[in-house]
Amino acid sequence: MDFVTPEYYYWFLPIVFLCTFTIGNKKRRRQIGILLVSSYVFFWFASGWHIMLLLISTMVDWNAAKRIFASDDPVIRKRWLIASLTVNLGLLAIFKYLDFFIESWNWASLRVPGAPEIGTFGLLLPVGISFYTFQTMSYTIDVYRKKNDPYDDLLSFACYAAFFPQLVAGPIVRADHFRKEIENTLTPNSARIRLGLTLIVYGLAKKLVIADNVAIHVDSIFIDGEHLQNIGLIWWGALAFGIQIYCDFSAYTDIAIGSAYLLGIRLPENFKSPYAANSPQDFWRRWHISLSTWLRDYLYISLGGSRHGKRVMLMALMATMLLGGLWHGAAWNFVLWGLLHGLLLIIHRSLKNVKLVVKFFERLPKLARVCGWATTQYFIFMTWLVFRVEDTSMLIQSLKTYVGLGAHWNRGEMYEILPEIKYLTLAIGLLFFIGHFISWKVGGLKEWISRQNVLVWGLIIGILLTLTFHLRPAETVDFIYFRF
Amino acid sequence: MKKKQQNLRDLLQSLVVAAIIFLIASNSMNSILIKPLLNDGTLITHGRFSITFDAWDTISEDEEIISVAIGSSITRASFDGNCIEEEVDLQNFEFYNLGLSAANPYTQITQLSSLLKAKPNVIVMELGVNSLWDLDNEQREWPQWQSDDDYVAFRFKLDSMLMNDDDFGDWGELVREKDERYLYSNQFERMGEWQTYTIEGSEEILRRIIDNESGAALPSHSLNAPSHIDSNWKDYLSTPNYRGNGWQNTTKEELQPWFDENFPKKVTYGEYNPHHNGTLFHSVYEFMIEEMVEQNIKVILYSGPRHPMVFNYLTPGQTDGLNTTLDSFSEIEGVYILNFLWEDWDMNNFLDWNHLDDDGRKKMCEKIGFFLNTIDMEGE
Repeated sequence: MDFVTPEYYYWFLPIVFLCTFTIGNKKRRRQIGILLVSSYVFFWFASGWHIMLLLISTMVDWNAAKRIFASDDPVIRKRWLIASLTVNLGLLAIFKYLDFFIESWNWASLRVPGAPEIGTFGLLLPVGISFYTFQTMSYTIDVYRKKNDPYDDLLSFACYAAFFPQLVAGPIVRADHFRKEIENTLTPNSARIRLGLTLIVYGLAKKLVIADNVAIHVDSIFIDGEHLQNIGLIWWGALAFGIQIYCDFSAYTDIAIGSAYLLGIRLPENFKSPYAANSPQDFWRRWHISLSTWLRDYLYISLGGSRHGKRVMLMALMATMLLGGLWHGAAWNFVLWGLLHGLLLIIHRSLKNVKLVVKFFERLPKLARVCGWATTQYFIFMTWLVFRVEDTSMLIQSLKTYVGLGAHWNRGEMYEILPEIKYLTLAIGLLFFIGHFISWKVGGLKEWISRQNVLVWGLIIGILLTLTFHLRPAETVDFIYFRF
Repeated sequence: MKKKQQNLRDLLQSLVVAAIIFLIASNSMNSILIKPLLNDGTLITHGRFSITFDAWDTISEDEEIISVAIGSSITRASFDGNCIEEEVDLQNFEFYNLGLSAANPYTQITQLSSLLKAKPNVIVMELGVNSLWDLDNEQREWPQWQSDDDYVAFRFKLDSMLMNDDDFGDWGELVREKDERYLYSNQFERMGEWQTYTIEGSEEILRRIIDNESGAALPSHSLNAPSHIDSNWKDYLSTPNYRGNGWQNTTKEELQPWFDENFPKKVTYGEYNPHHNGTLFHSVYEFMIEEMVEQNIKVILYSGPRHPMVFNYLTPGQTDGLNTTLDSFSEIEGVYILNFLWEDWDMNNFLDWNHLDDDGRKKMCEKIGFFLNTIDMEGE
């Protein structure tokens, strides 16, 4: 079960909603219990026995945080922190990265005579492991840093670790934020329900109409690696994948936040019009915000941050981005993706203090911003190629074509390669960028919709539902971030 | 408390408005965007597949004395309604031809409730040499469909998508268990089927706007069916646009190689080997005839002619199953039999081996007109 399976809307969410506000009516602990049980049910349907890993992570961090909080001895505190990190990162290392490391070793061993080859374990990636381990780790680290107190009861903490809307693909919620949300009895609130429904419908439209239709084009371009010299195809492929991944991931977030709103809980935003970013730094303030702030708070700062000189800062930045890339998936293209983003951030930091650049921004601020935007987006979409194309030779060819090396333009070939549904997909892509621009310019579009009167809200939601129902392709594509 | 109630009322009203908008927008999208593209043969192989229920609606509103022909493309090619109306002595007589490509008796049952509601005076129903094979065991391949089961799935899905709740009836008992999933019995399932055409339909509309072309088959093209609001609708129901090219002006010598190559195999198929009884098609005929007769609708079971050269490849007794079946139905009061199979038809009457051309239709018009004049169409 996930957010695009009908069961989620036919029975799961309505039952959770009704139980929370009827059986659990005005009884906080009962409500938390209901949310916890439903979260485990949701996870069981999504990932089966992997629920054990979630339980292990929950129990380890619950105990570690308690022990850390109870002790004044720095050695004991550190031991418990290390224990927590070891278990969490160990689970990640085994279930997410072990086969990847073995495959990498085997690849390298081909070049070293006599080096043994090791068999892989064929482990299935547990759904949401990257998200909930980061969440529980941040809790323990915050307690260790004395930024927060531990949760008072296991029930609430387990609910924080497993809360179904954000369990599988975020946003990565901080323990303190969640605690504030559930410290009082949850009450149904019309405004929040309206906003929740708006976000769910909006998210479904983004996922099913935009992401899944555009995905068909992306797949047709990168499926066999032919015609990758065609610059039109590569540019459209990069652009289309950029649209797909944003609409796919932000749709998940919208539905997650919307579902939580229905239950009276507010989750943090994860996106803020990322394709309006006019610098790489700005992009990371707008893209997957809960991950970028997590990496900043728990990795970048731990590695030295910006307080120990430029060299340390640059190294911390690069290490953070490399690990951030690796967090996305156990493959070298994600590491390369992180590396490129690290380079972009470093280049941007170096350039922004150059006198010529400073003067340009002072004299022609509007033009400078437009140039900044165009350059940033050119490279952001280039990095999406690295994210999407796993095959090395295909990736090299795609990148060469993207920058114009040995590329050619052939409209007829494009027409032939792209799927039968062309104009509609192009129209959807165009509408996406118009919507993205409006959303960036006006801000808070979803909130604005949810505040409209009965007729306007009904009209907008009715139209969005109609488009979603009728323009969804026959095959639904899995959420991309489920893989992470 | 009062504000809370007001908010709750607003929320519920908003949801109702959204649901109404969804239904209105979806239905508008289906009827304005998709239905014309079904009719003009853009989204399905043949626009005629999508007009059955519109046709029955029109027929049910017609107060004249009505005769309707139902059957396969053989029926479609056999009857020129306008010609037959002239042949029949009655002034207030209308003849409709609802023959449909590849239709078999089983795929006809979906229209039974509409037919009974429209209550025509006479049904001219195809029961030919091609109508009595065993669907369960004799599957054929088609250019557009993988098998007859695939065709059944397509027809059932499309028909039930275009049906209303009251178009379902007892005929459902005849539907094979494996086909039940293709018959959508509620509005939501029907909308789901409409949805399967929306993306392709939207693409086609955009293509026509951007490329500035109609893209649809020409109105005179045999794949194109008009909409029920078009001025030529009623005329089309009487006299469909027939296929143009065929075997006219072709000599026997020129056709012989084609027959020699194709017919030794063709005559081994179910459509040339009618069963005597016991098939699903037999059950469908029994059920439909019984229902129609009960409603005082006269039933003419007609067996379509074949190109004279076909008979060179048939073995004696090969089509006996047809005779047995026709004989058994002839005993029912209100049922008439017209077996044209063994009648003497000229090879110049045919468009191909089993479809009549203009000359053949003219001849059929005279024959069927003559017969209709002999029966009391108005009587109970």
